Amino acid sequence: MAEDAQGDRLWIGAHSAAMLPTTLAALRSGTFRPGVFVPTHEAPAAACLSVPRQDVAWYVGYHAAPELAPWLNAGQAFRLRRWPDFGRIRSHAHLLRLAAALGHRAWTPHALSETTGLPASEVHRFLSAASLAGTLTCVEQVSSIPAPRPEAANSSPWTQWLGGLRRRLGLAFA
Amino acid sequence: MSASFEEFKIVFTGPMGAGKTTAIAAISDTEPVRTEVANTDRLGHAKEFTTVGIDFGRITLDDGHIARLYGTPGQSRFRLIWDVVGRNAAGIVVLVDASQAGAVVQMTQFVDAFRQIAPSAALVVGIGRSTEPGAIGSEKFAAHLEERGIVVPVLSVDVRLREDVQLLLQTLLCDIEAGQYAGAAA
Repeated sequence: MAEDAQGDRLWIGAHSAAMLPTTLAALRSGTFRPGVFVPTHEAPAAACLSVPRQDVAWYVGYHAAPELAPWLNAGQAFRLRRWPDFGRIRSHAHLLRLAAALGHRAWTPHALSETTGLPASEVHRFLSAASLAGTLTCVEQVSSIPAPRPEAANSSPWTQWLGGLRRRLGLAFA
Repeated sequence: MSASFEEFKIVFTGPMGAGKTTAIAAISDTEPVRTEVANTDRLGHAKEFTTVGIDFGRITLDDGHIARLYGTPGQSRFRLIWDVVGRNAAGIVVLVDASQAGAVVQMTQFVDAFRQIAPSAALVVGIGRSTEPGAIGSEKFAAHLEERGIVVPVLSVDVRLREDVQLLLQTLLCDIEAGQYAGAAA
């Protein structure tokens, strides 16, 4: 069981974690900071929700710090082995862009930030979260990865066309 | 990619009862054209009506271009229609019902079929009814694809909610764009 300074608790099992809806909201927003871990036989309260452990790992990794997790190296390149379930996680829409880029090929953190136009801190948070959730893989041979040419992608007629579709659907990025 | 602005199409596919018609209705500008008839395959699914041709909806952009939304029939005996509708699609949305026992196999069947029909299309999998008792969790679907080296988004959604259908589309559009990034960098 993990507990934070406010007394919110979550029970961590082999595949899932249980917590009250208020704790889940705090975990999603980054205000739940587990400080104490206690082995326990105590059962979760009946009102608790069951959340896949992978999602808990994602929230903790994303909100931990704006820097890369200490076990990740900024000089390495990364790609996704599988997508996080953003249907459950309900993260910010711009994280979809990072996931999509990392689903296609490997990127160094710097190149990913340059290509997507997203701040390095967001790239770092995403990579840390994906790593902790077990969905990231590291590609060692950075020299074999071509450098990005973001201007080519951003000026693509496709990008402009898709922007029009997004506006029509109310999906334009802020 | 082989898709074009002039015929930009997104295809909603998946087994019978997965919510393809509902998803199109959630985002189409106009009432979708439906080809539903009474379901005579009650063993396959208990729903009263099912699509036998194609469903069609559309989204008209400010500049007059149109994004076409197609829904396929869910039964594999209509595979010929899958081929016609899926060819040159920009995006494929595979919907499955996680409360069905064979849902992982069904997903695989549709993912494999449409990766063959439209190899350059972006593809996203939407998992419905994943919170029902006994339903298969989305991680099982994702793990199955990962084992086969297929990296596509697998998202738990309720297609009765417009915001969830929007999430599927936003993901699809991001994936189409990312294909451009990757192409530009190569």
